[in-house]
Amino acid sequence: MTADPGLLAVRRGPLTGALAAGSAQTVAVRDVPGRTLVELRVATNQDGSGAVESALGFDLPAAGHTSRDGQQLAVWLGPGWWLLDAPAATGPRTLEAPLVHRLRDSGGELSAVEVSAGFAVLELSGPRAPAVLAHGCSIDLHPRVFGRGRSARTMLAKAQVVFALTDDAPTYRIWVRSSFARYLVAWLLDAATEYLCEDPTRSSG
Amino acid sequence: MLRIPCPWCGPRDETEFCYGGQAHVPYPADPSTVDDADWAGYLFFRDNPKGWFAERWMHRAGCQRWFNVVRHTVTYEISASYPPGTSRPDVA
Ligand SMILES: [Zn+2]
Repeated sequence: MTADPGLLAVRRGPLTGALAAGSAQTVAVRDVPGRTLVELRVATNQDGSGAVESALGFDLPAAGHTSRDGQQLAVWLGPGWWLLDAPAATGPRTLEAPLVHRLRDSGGELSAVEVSAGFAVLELSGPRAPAVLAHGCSIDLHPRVFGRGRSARTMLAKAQVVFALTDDAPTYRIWVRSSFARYLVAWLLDAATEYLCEDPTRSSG
Repeated sequence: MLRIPCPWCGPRDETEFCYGGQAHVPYPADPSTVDDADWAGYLFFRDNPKGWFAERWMHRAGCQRWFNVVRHTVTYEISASYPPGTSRPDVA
């Protein structure tokens, strides 16, 4: 995905038109628009992922974790399988992100496929974010178990998602199939309703 | 609901997995020499123990990998979870 302003203007996040998206004091949901997403698979019999990592510019994370370099994030999905999340590339318009070509040219035994259009990226943040997630997900989200830098590919409210804890607000970044995105947003806003009335800045609950 | 320990992702709900039947059923080494009875045995006949059973599961909603689990068919207790290609651990 290249930052063609025409194309980016047409892309709509699943929260577009939503009535409420929460507050920072309790829990908030927001779109993370215009990300470049790449699914990366590396042969697991390969001795390390050194070539891939040098093309990427940072190390790939171990099982159940993420790694990051500035605005770029790598999420472990399975053995030899990662999701890369990077800002929209700038520069001349191309069909695939330059990152894909850089990975393919790295000489590693791999598959790199741009999947930006296949996923919506959301962020759920605030002190009540873990409670909202726990309404629809069976993973132990206690910070002792699921701290910053952890990730999971799992089911959330019957939707297939990947999520990762990216900061201690806490903020969870959620990747969901585009076709499930509006459903998941509706579910998140509904699950968050009971916590929104705890917000002292809101006059009535 | 079973909690199944994926060797890579850790314990997850049963609804994240697909069931794959008995584990350690090898494909015949030379299929052309297998007679009908043995071929039927390979295709259709499986153990059905009352007790510990090694079976295959696939973590569909997670890492999408096949692996093996040793589960008790009466108590549903799970005593081992291990990657494919490794032999059944001596736990039960
Ligand atoms: Zn798994």
